[in-house]
Amino acid sequence: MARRQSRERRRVAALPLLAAGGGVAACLLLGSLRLVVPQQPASPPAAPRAGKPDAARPVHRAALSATAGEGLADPGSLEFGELFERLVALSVRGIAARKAGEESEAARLEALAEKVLDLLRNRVPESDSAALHELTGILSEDHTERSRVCRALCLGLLRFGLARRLARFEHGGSRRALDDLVHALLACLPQDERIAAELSGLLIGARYLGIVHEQAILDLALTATEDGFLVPHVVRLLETLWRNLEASGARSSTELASLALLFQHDTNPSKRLAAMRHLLTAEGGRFRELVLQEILEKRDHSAAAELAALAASTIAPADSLPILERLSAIDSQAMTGAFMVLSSRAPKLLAEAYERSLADGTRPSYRAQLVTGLGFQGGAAGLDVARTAFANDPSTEVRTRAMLVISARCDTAEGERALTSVLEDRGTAGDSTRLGSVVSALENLAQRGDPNATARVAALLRGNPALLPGDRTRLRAILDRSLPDTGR
Amino acid sequence: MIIHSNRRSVRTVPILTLASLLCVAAIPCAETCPDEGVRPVPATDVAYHVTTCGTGIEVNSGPIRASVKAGACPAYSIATPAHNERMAKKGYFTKRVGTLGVKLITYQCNSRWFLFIPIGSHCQVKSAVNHGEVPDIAQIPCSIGLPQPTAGVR
Repeated sequence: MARRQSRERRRVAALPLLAAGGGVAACLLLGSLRLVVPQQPASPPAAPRAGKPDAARPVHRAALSATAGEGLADPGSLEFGELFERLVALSVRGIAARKAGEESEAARLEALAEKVLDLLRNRVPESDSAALHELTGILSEDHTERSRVCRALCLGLLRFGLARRLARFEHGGSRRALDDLVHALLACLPQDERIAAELSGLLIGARYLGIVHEQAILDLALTATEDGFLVPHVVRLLETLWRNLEASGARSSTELASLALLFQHDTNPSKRLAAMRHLLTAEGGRFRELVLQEILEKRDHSAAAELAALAASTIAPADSLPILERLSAIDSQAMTGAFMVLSSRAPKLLAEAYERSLADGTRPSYRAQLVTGLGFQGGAAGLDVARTAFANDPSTEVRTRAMLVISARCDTAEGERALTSVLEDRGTAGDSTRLGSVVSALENLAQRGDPNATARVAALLRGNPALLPGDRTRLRAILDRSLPDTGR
Repeated sequence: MIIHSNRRSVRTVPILTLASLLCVAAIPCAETCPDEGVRPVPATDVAYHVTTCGTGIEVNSGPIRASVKAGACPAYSIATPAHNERMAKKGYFTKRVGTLGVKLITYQCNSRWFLFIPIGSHCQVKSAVNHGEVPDIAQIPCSIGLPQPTAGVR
């Protein structure tokens, strides 16, 4: 109940921003929370738009008549709410038809839905603002098909609205219409985790954020100290903002680097993370060492994982690998994703790094990451590295990772041989930890679809008294899933 | 008297034995309880290689044309299950009870759409395999027993 009230407060809080965007506002402020957008704006838009406003155009009657057979009301009385409901109904029916394989009916409904969507996009003023209000009224915990369709349609209308407002600005119009809608989106972000992900996803990496949104994002950074789910979104919004400011010439790269250097020591996690991400790549990487030193000194686990992933995907692989190696010292487990990203970009580089590390005989946890990354994302060369590691690496940790790769990616015969060899090894017999790893590998093997191989390995495991109770339960669950009743 | 004395000693031996056993059990309990418990670590799912997924929208409004990117779908994510990690905690010891798999989940972009609405899930799980693991650890009060050394349990 409190959550719902908070949600409503945020929806209301967003209304003045919607109001600034155009004629929807008066209706929103005076009416109920369920938005009904008039065909004509209740008040003129705050700023003139380029070209003739769509609202001034008559409703596209040909399109309306095409949907009349589906029970559409008199075209003259259409408004956002009615059109949107029509679109939702057509979509729900169309999706059901497509799921049922009734393709001709689905195509017919899709054609009708496209016409209604076209009316919403082009003939109803401020349909994007109305879609935002509609979206924020859907409960996050509502997982019905109808609400899923509503969400997707609202987000589609918002994507379209943002792109159109930006396009109008770039064709010589005012930026205000775009800025107002972006402000409204930012104001709704704290509503809940789902809305935050959906709305920030519309803005991150796009050109919509501008200098006028800087304060709103910094305010969100402050809110994020209480609502932790906002942190990753605010970090990326700040990144996007800075990139846009640099691209538009509003801020120089030196100014942004100075700001990031200031934020790097901020107690606010969103600002600090955004600053570190910025400094990792800013000005050709001249601040990179500074950032690494900071993370290593503070042993900041979350920053280490964030930056490793960023380095793996954006920096030249040869420069990125040493960064990952150093950050692994903080939290090796959290680096796996970054090693996978880098393995898919430069498998040869990582394979050579594994060979060097094996020859040195140092840092087994680093080798374990290389084997996992290469094994799962490094193609055929990566599999060869995993085979070498399984056969020759002196570290149990590395051989375990290699076993997981082989059980998941090689053919079942090779996978079974690998698991059997581990179980028949006298050193493994009483090693509960190693036996638990074999259960994990068996789960991979079982998914390959050879019940006989699964049953043979399971029989070896079940007879071992050193298998821990939790692993024994897991083994039973694997067999329940993958073996016919008679095979258990 | 002798008989009486003998009878008393016969009764006393098991009591003394039990007491000494309890004493032996109690002293190391008080002295060797490692004071190590667990704290819960919530499940995480971190996405990587997020790419555009979906039909997108073609904006066509009078002279203005623009294409809008669709939703996004990761190539894969790393899902670590909720688990416990060790921490200092008075009066407890920890025991490994099993292993939990850390999953590599790969996705594929949904290829069936109605307008720009995905039919079913936006991103569909293609596979989920164990690429790593975390220990499944339980905490036990030292008051009900001492940690027993177990071969091969880390």
